[in-house]
Amino acid sequence: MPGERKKRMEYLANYLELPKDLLMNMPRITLLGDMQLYVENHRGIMEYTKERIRISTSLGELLIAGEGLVLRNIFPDEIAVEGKIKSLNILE
Amino acid sequence: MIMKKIWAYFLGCLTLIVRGEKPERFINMAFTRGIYLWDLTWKSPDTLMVKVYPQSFKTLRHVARQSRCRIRIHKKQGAPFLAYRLRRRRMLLVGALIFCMILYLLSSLIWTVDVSGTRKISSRHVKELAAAKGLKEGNFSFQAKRDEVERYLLRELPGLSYVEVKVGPRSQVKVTEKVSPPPSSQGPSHIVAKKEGVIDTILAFSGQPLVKEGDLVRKGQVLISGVVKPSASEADPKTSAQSEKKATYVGAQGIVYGKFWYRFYGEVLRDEAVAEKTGRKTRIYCINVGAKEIIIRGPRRIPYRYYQSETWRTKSLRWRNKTLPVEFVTIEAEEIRQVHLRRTFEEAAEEAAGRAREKEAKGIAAEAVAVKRRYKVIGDKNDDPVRVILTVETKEEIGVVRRFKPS
Repeated sequence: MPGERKKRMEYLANYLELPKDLLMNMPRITLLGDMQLYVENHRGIMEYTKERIRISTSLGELLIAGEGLVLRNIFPDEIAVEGKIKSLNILE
Repeated sequence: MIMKKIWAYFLGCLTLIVRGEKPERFINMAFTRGIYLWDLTWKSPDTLMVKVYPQSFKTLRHVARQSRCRIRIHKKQGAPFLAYRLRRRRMLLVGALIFCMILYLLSSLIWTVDVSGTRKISSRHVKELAAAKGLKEGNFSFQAKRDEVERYLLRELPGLSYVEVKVGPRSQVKVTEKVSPPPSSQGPSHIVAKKEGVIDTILAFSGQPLVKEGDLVRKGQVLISGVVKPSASEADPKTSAQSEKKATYVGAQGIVYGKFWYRFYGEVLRDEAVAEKTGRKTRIYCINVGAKEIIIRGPRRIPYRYYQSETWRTKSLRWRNKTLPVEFVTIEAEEIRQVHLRRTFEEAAEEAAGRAREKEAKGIAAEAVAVKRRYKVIGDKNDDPVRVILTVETKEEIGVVRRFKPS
């Protein structure tokens, strides 16, 4: 998303008090304790092992590290990860 | 979550093993094509387990080829696969159906008919009448209509006041008989003593009392007479001669209580060996097949030196006069210890009185009311055994109705 447009959208979202994930196509990441993680608005899986999951999003790359990670559900717009989650990085 | 599991059961669920260089590619391609994958787990570093609905398997093969992965079916679960297996083993289904049918038929058979509550009417007669309406052993329970049987029994047996029928494998007929009031004293009657005794109270409702309280009466003596003569005081002196003849006859009614005395004797030894239960007991369950004994539970033999045992036997099915030579036996044994008791005079007297009381409970009629009890020790303090005589004074109904012909 070009910088100019992104700023405008953010301004619009603030002004109209609309949820930003809808307007700006951002991933919504929900973390439940250290055992469950939901990623909405994803763009696919880049790597999947027991210790590491990389998910592609509009922001860039979402790196999840942990132990015994399991992909519970995969929908076109949502991914649910279960297991012991240790770290969460967003790589631009 | 539970909804998903139910769906997975109805639609079926395939567990696949994915092997390949880039399983991520496989996953991405699958969900972009709208294939729902769930529970992705690594079993080992190169095998990935995936669950999918069976309907998407065809497309998934395509996906696998394009992503250069190999997929293999590991497990098939859910209703469609069960149905498929059952279709191939049709006799299994038939057997299950036959089993259900036999169970239904046997449980709708009437196995036994119990009649309870009969007193004057023979229960066999009630059973025969019930059988006439279909309620008998060997019939199906839908052949006997509950209301019909009840109505039929009440109509056929006028001596019944209430009938309750339960139709089932163990059918029950509960019956309550009418209790008719005592025959009303039609015609003149006396009330006479049914046994020897002393009159305690006398209350005449109708008729002429002939005895007073405290009188000693013999058996058969008239207590309240049905012959009523006008008393001298109210009779006019002029008509006294006539009224003497004009005695009226009534059915005597009244309550007469008599006093009775009973004696009971009880004795107790000062020194006595008594068997006492130690509280330890065992049970042996066994099955007797012919002459062979198979112990199911419990010790091989009773482990006590002195014991009291009780045995229950349950015979199995009986048909005509043939029985299966199999019976179920339960033996319960309670250990017993011999205890020497040394009683003081007071204890012994107490015990002897208790024994006399036990005899009393058996000896006097149920409707008799004990009014007074007196205990008396016979002999002196050094006697062995200690003997006690219990004298009970009771109050009992003494009168019975006896008809007579007015002469």
